Amino acid sequence: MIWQNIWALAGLVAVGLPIVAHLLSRDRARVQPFPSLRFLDAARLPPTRRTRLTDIALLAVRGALVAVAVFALAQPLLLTARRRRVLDADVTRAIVVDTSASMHRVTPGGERTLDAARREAARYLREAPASIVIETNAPYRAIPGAAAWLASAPGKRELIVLSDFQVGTLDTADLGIVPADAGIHLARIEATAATGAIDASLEPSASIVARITPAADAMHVEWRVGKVARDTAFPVVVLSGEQSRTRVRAAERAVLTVHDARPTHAATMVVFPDYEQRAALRNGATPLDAAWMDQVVTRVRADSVLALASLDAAVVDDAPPPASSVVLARNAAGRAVAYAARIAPAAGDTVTRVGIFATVEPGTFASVALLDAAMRAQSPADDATELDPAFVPSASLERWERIASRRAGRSDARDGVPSDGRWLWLGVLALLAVEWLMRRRAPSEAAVEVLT
Amino acid sequence: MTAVPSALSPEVVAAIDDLELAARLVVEGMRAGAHRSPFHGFSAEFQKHRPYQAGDDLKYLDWKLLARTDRLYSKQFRETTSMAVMIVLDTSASMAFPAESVSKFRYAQIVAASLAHLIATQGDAVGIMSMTDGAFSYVPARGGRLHLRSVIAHIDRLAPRGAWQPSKVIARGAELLKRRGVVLVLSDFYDEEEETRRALRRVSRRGHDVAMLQVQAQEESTLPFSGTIAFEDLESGERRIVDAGVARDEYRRAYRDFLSRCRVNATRDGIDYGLFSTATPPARALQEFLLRRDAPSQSGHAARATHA
Repeated sequence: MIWQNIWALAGLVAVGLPIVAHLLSRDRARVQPFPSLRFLDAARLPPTRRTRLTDIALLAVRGALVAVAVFALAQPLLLTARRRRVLDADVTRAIVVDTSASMHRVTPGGERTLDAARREAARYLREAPASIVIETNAPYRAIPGAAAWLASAPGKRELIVLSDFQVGTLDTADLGIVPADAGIHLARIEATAATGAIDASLEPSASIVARITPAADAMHVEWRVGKVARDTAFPVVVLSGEQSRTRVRAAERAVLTVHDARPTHAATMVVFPDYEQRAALRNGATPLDAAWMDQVVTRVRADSVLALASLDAAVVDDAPPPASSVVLARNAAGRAVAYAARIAPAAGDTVTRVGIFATVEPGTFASVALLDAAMRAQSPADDATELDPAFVPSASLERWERIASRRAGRSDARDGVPSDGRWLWLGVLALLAVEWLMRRRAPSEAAVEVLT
Repeated sequence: MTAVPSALSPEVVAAIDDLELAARLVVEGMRAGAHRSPFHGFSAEFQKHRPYQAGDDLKYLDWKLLARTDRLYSKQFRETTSMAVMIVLDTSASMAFPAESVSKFRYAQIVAASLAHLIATQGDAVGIMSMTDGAFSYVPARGGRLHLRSVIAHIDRLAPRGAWQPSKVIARGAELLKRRGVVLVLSDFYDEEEETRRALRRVSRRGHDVAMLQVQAQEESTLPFSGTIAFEDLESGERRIVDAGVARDEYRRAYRDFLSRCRVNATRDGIDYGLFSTATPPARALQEFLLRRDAPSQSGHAARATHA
């Protein structure tokens, strides 16, 4: 139930008015000793019913009448599933999904928290098609962009944030820039303890490693000295010709020497020019369509080492990048050293990937820089504080939330859900009839207060 | 005694604490109107004839003898033993109305004391009968000035309280009269209307001279109230809430019907009836009642209704 005119509820103080009226104007009968009542008919009272404070039934009806009228003025709206669909169809949403490391924990149902958040985001998107989804590992950084987008969106607008809401995810200052008439909905995705320990080292290949095991309400840290066995598999799929495989492996080892491979759920592949299926992949590529893809691409483009390495890179694939792709780096001549596009899952595969098409030979400095940038882009370094189990209290989230309201000065023709206040007005009419009938009944002696 | 105006107002008379004095004043007021005893002649026996003298009351002229003898003779009577009169006084709580002015009971006390004074001073026996807290309270009928004072003192001690059983009190009062006498009932006659009527009829049939002296307060007949009033019965304590303005006409009609019923029934039963309003000076009310009662009639005790 929502109240479309909630300030009208202040009128509930008027429920006390019948009581005050009774106290001020109650009828009082003077007691007159009389020799005989034989000739006095008790029915000789005027038609209006006398009332006094203890005439509970009539007072209750009058109080209920005032209360129901006040509720009707407050324009209640019972939010059924159908009505929600009607209302939500009229809503434009900016949906921010938290992809930080803590979202890789597991929900009580055994599902990864991030997957649960993405599933919720998809549902919100289906309900309000004219919406966007922003995936970010720092929701507070995405709020300004979401707010700016909402400011230009038509109709009712709503910001939805899907996160586990660790302390630091959001605060009131971040939400202050959201348009005043836009709704804010903060949906917490509950997470349990992390699935396993995470190794964090101070620097690559350092001999001092912290093994961090998050629990529900604490973090356990075990410091170890000495190399910790790491997963040596290169986390990015690299596709190249048979003859360049050795150079590709060497490049991968070189990259792993500098940076640790970290677990990732992003799916990136690098396709070198000598890969046999490159043309098919290139022809089948489509524009990037997921926020995580944009994030990967953004990080690669921002990699300064790749940018430097690309300046004097020799391009061997002269074909211009497809219109559906995004250029990641160019050489000094302005030719694309690498470009990215969406690669649909292959037969027997279910993973959608970001395909990075390199135009330089594998084994070149630019190719190594490209592999390094791709690896770090799809699995950015975890911040150990992401594992902090302190969360924003639910009461704070509730205080920050608000319902979208109609924009001032605009009439929204798509709002087809009338208020339920019309039924309450019918109730008011019914109570008026009851009150009239009760007053017209034969009065009783108990209806009058007797002064003694 | 100095002559006093015959119409001392009820308020003035009621304000006199000494009931004996008040009764005397009322009787003097009556006598100022040259009123004769109302009980004269009931107990007189023919003694002899004497020649008519100028000034003799033509009522006592023997017309039969005149027809036979062509001579005028007046009858002379000899009074027998004194008349016994029992005054029955209603002491129920309804007689205490109104509280703000002369109540019916105070008025009835004055009338009863005045009657007792009148009766006693003319040589008749007088007694008083009432009911207090369910028990009979009386002074038997006797003559004499000393007895009169005790009767008046008894009347003065009475107070209106609770309910009474008029039929029993009337019957008991009549029983206390050893021979045929007069029973005067002073009441508003609200209680046991039918039983009271039967009791009065029974007493009358036994040969007693019965009179209903119905006392009413002016407020009872006019209902001078307005607005919503909770009328409280003085005897039962029951309350009834009424809009007096709305109920007034119907009340007056019902009350007039009640008075009319009492009067008509008394007339039918051969009982004297008098309506005494507390707004009327007691002397005048008694005077008018006794004059009516004393008026000559064709047969025995003709039932006469008087309104005072």
